[in-house]
Parts: sequence; structure tokens; C-alpha cells
Amino acid sequence: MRPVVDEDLRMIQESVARISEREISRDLDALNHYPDMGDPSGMIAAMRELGLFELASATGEDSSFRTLGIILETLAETAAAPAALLLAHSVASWVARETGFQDSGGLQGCAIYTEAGHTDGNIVLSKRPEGYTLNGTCRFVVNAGIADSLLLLACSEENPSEHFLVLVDASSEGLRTGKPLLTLGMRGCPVADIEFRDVKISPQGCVPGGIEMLHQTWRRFRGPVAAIAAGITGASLRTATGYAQERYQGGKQIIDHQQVRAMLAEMLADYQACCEAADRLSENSLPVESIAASLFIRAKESAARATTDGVQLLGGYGYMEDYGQERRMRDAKQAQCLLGRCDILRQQQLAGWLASEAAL
Amino acid sequence: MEFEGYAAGEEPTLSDLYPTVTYLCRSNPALLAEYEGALARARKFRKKFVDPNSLEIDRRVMTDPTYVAHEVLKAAGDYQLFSMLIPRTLGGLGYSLLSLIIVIEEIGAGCIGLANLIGVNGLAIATIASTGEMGILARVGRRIRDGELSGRPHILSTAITEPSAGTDVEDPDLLRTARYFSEATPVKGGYRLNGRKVFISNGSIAQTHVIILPTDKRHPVETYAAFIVESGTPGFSIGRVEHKMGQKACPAAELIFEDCFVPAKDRAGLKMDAHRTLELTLGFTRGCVGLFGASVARAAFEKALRYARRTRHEGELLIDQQWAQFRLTDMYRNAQMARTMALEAILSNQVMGLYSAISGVESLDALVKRIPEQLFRQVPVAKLLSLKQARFAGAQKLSDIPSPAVERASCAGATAKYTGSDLGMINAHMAVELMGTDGLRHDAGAEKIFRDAKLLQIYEGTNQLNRIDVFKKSFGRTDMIAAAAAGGL
Repeated sequence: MRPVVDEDLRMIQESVARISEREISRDLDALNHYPDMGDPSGMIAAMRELGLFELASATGEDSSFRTLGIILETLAETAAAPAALLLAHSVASWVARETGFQDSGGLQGCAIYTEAGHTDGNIVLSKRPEGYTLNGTCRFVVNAGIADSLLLLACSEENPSEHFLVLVDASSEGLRTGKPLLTLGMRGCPVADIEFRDVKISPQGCVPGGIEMLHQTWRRFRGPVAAIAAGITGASLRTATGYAQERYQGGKQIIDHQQVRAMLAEMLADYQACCEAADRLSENSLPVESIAASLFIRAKESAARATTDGVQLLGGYGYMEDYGQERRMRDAKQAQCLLGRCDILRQQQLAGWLASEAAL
Repeated sequence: MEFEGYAAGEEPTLSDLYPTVTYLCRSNPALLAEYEGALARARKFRKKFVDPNSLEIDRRVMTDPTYVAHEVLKAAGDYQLFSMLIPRTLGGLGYSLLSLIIVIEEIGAGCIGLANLIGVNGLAIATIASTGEMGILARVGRRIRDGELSGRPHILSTAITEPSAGTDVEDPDLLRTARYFSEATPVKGGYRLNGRKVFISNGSIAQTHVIILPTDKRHPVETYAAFIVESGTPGFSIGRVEHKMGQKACPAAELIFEDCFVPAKDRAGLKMDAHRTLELTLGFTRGCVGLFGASVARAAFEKALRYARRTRHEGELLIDQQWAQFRLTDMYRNAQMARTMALEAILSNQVMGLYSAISGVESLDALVKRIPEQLFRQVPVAKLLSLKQARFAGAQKLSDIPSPAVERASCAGATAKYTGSDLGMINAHMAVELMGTDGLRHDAGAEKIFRDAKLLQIYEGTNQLNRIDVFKKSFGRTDMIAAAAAGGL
């Protein structure tokens, strides 16, 4: 765990660490094979008991993003799956509150592995005399199957370039959740494709201007995502360092091999990049948008790179499930996709930077 | 020469993959036919048994690591994939190494776990061949061929890694300080094996195991030896089957020896030179891992290419977007580079390394090819080659290879190994990233390639060890360093 100065935050951090150690880590082996084995309900119950969903729903002010970041980072040090689950709930809750949707108070889900505004599916909202209907498929929805309501982006049937944010009751007639997907990482956080067939939506359940709202949301949640990356990378770094101090090769501890030291130092630099991004992006204190985007992309890529080396440093043991390094490598790679692909984010980042330069 | 397969959106042709080889073979239609036949056979096998099953097998092993796709193993036997590497005189089919390369890459591009499941036999064969024991090789080769003909494949495993020593026991220079846990103690009539070996590919399913152990663990270099142990031998048991991140189709298991007696005839090699045996074995097998890297790099590239050709982002196909074109081009380049390095390594082993030592056998092959297999199978080759004179001849043949040639071939193997596996891993990272959420779903296949690729950077010596090896065998040789210090270089 990273040292936290603020006393309230430290208490939250310690509580999350305790529950992670006590309640979440015991199910990790089974959850590592989810959905074929394991059940996330114990993990969710533990998070609920600690009030994490309420805390995440209340995220709004800059300070609350810092709190969310600490929670996610601490969870991700043990397992990234509950962090992804909480992130999706938090994102959906934030959008719902910002757009004036009525808060159902339950668990929420949404698609958080795509670029803002990219639907990764084809969902059409059609106006009907009595309200709206939703048709199409939304792919890779996080918390699908366990969420009470789902936030998604749909395009208007009348004008396909116009997008609406839609909040759907997960028990709506015509909504069919596919089987939970087996994913690369963050196993235990349910993800599925969802099909909509003439699902009725009330006029209060959808708002226009969806893409702009999502862009704003995605920008705001970069800090919490970087915090997840920091949590995973920190755990991988600590495990690799511990192993390097125990393991002998060529008659000496492997940490005394220069190349091993160099790899650990690289991992440390990557970890620090994640931590810096987590802190500065959560504070929302960066004056220039393109700097924020750079930090975010760098953090996600650093985590994927560092955790790959985290496996390598343990050799054959790193590749086996026992040490958790392989899980961290998979989790970090999956986290790299959170809020969009780095290659596409880079295109958006430069466009933003050029626009800000032109405005000067 | 134009690109054929990739341009049409189909599988790459031989000239797409090996353009120079294809070009050079234009004056030798028979050789070209052998290579094209090898590719066609491997592709047919892949389409029928690998592509439709690999994801399901991978998923099944996730919950049951002991599950083995026996139907794929049987099919591999039906396609004679186990015996193709072994010289005909020694009971196999005696295909050229280049045909083997083509077959390995093709199957590996479908699933590297299944390619490993089938290919692990090659490591054992190379290890036995490196001891010069052609009699044992002929015995094992005959069993492999019999297994193919009977529909019950004969599987081999090779056990080197120990619980506290992986990389150390795969490097001739580190052997001296390696923390050996296991030992083969000389007793009347043979040896008594005690200890454990870990992460042994196919260890839980093999019928024959090649166990590398010192006969005195205080002096591993001087007493290094290979022992042939059959499953079911008293004192030998299978321990834990590992839960691996990837390459799940190929089980990795712990082998346990508790006073396991091995007769003297099953110790391979009259007098084994640990350094040379390791160099000869790993020079070849590391080249093969480099080729696995090329397979993974190609699989990742092809997966991403198919995705980019059919997926739109912001209304435009990814293949039409320049950033994606650059990514794909890098991936294509990486696959080519890995393949080229592996080709160099494996061919150098043919002319300078392990396979140059069995060139005498290969020339006998030409003669044997004229004898019908049924008739030839009645010749007691293994017995003849186990005669003392033949054993000495085999050992002599190996020691006749000049040391610089062995080192060069070994260096080429290590270079190909770390290059190919690094490039495979890079491509796997890029494919997952380019494919977005499709890259994360098991049913889309890219995430499996990502998990599979990582092991290539670890087994057959970590890539860090292989870098040290290349340094020591090339510009970092002790004699060169001394010459440089004396102002000679």
C-alpha cells in the first residue's frame, strides 16, 4: 500500500485493504476461472458491507475522485476484478446523476472498455407515441447480469448522428443478457453482451447529447483508472522484488544480477508513472487537457509492460497461477483497454492539443 | 512474386511465408513439392483438428488442468507428425528439417499449446541424439512410429528443471553452481533416482521420459547424465499438474523419483560431456522455440488483420486508418523477422550443430527409402546400434563436430529463441490492443495468443539467460575479451 497522508483517506485505505485480505483474496483462485468457476457474490457482499458502492455513487467533487482512486488502487492490489466492478458502477452513477436520471439506488453497469462515444455495438432508440423503444446489441457490458440498471449509448432512429444516453432497468421486458464472457483479465467482474428487443424506455430514461457527456465522463474517470493500473503494478513489483531477493542463480541472489535490477528499476519507474497519473488525474489539477491525456495513456501502457516483466522475473513460477503474477499481467492488459484503446486515445489527444494550441 | 494468400484474405501460401526458399527451389521441383506438401498437410491438420478445437480445449483445461486432447494427439499420429523428424533408419519418416519448420509454424499459428503438445517429443529426441546414443534413439523412434500406426501415440517428455533451479540447469556455465535437488546414485546394475523435476511439458501423459540428472550433485558438470525412464517404473510417480496461464493444451507436471531404479542400459551416452550435450540439444530446441515465436507473431498478426478488415471505427474500416496500418505492418514485419531468425538457427543446426552429427544416418536413409517400410521394420536397427562399437561411433560422431561450429549453431538457436519469443509477445500485445474489447474476449482468440505467448519467453532458458548465452558465444567470448584487454581488438 502507498502511504496516504490524509487521515480519513488512510482509514478508508486500511478498511479496504482489510476486507480485500479477508474476504476477497480467499475467493481469488475460483474467481480466476470465472465464469466457469467461482461466484462474485461473496466479493460483492463484502464490498457492499463496507459501503463501497455508496461511496462510489457519491463520487462528484474532486476530493471524492481521490477517495475513489484510493479505494480502487487498494482493491486492485489484491484483485482488479472488484475494482473494475466498482468503477463501472461509479461511472454509470456519475453519468446518471449529472444527467438528472433518477437514482435507483442499486448496482449499475455500463460499457467501460471502449472509447467515449464509441458504441461497440449497434443500439437504436426509436420514438414511439408512448415513449421510446430500444433495439440492438450492446457488447461487453460490465456488471451485466448483476446490475439493477444499465447505462448505455444509443443512436436515434430518426437521426443516426444524434446520440442519447439511456438508463435501462435490467429487468425490462425484451432485454436479454448473454452468457457471462470469459475474459482475458479481471475475471470475477461479470461482463456480457446484452440484446435489446423493443425494450420500452420512458421519456425520463433517456437524454440527448450523449457523446459529449461521455467524453466529459471519460476524462474525469481517468484518475480512478490510473489508480487501478497503479494497484496492479505495485503488487506485481512487490512480488517480483520479493522473489528476486529469495531466489538464487549462479550462486547469488538474482536481485544481485544487474539485468534483474534494471528490470525491477524499470518496473518501479512504470509503477511511479501510474501513481503520478492516479494522483494528478484524480485531483483534476492539470491545466492542459493533452497533459492529462498523456499521463493517462502512459499509465495504462506502463502497467501492461511492467506486469509482463513481473511474470518474467519469476520465470516458470510467474507463469503459474500460484504467485498471482500471471493474473496481474492479464488484469493490467485488460485495464489498458479501460476508457478506450491507447492508439485511438493518442489520435484524440493530439487533436485536443492542436485545438488548444490554435486557440492561444 | 506477388503476395497470394494475404492479398486474397486467405491463408498465406508457401511463397508468402518463405519467398526465398520457394524461389531457390524453382530448379528442384521435387524439393518444392515436399515443402508444399508439408504445408498442405499441416494446414489440413490445423483446419480439421486445431482451429475448431483450440479454444474449447483451452477453456476446458482452465477448470481441469489434467485434461488432455487425446483426439488431437491421435490425429497428429494419423498425420505422422511425431515421426517425421526422426531419420528413417532410426524408425521415423526422415523428413528434411525445412519441412519440419513449415509444419511446426503452421500448427503453431493455429494454437501454440497444441503445437507444443505434439512438438515436445522433439526435445526428447534432440536430447537423446545429443548423447550420441543412436541405439536408444532407434528404440524410441520405432516406438513412436508403432504408436502412429496403432493409433496410440507414443509421447515423450524431457525433464531438466528442478524446484530451485531452472535457468541454472539449462546453462553449461551455471551448472556448476546450480542448486540440484535430485540425483541418480550409481548402484549395482544401474542407478537409483531420487528427487523432483517440475514444469515438465507432457510429463503427466508421456510413456517415456528423458531425465537429466547428475550422478553426483556436488559435481553436476562432470557427472551429468540422461536416463530413460518408462511410466510405471516403481519409484516413479507424477505429482502436481500445473495451472498455467496459457499453452493449456500442453500439460506441465511434476515428476517424482523415490528410489527409482534405472538399469545401466537406460543411461544414455557412454561418457557424456555436459557442456556439449546441452549446447547441441538447446541449439536445436531453442531454434524451435524461436519458430514458435514466429507462429505466435503470425497468429497475432493474422487475427488483427482479419479484425481490421471487417471492423469500423468512426465509420471507417480500421484497415483504412493509417495508425492501424502501421501497427499491422509492424506485426507483419515482426513475424517475418522471427521466422527468418528461426530459419537461420534451424538450418545452422543442420549443417553445424546436432543434425550434422546424424548426417551419416541421413545418407543411410537414402538407401532405406528404397526398402518397403514393412520389410525394414524387421531389421533390428536398435539392437545393432546398441552394440558397443556402434555406441562408440555415435559418441565419436558427436565429438567430431568442431567446437566453434557447435557454439555457432547454439548461438543461432539462442538468438532465434529470444528474438522470436520477444516478437511474438510484442505482436500479442499489439493484437489485443488493436482489437479493443474483441481482444479481451476468449471467444475471439487474441487473448489466448497473449497468454500463450508469454511462456515462450520463459521456457528453454529465460530470454535473459539466452541473451547472456549469445553474448558469451559471440563478441563476448572469453578469448575475445582477453584479446581486447591486451589491445588486440
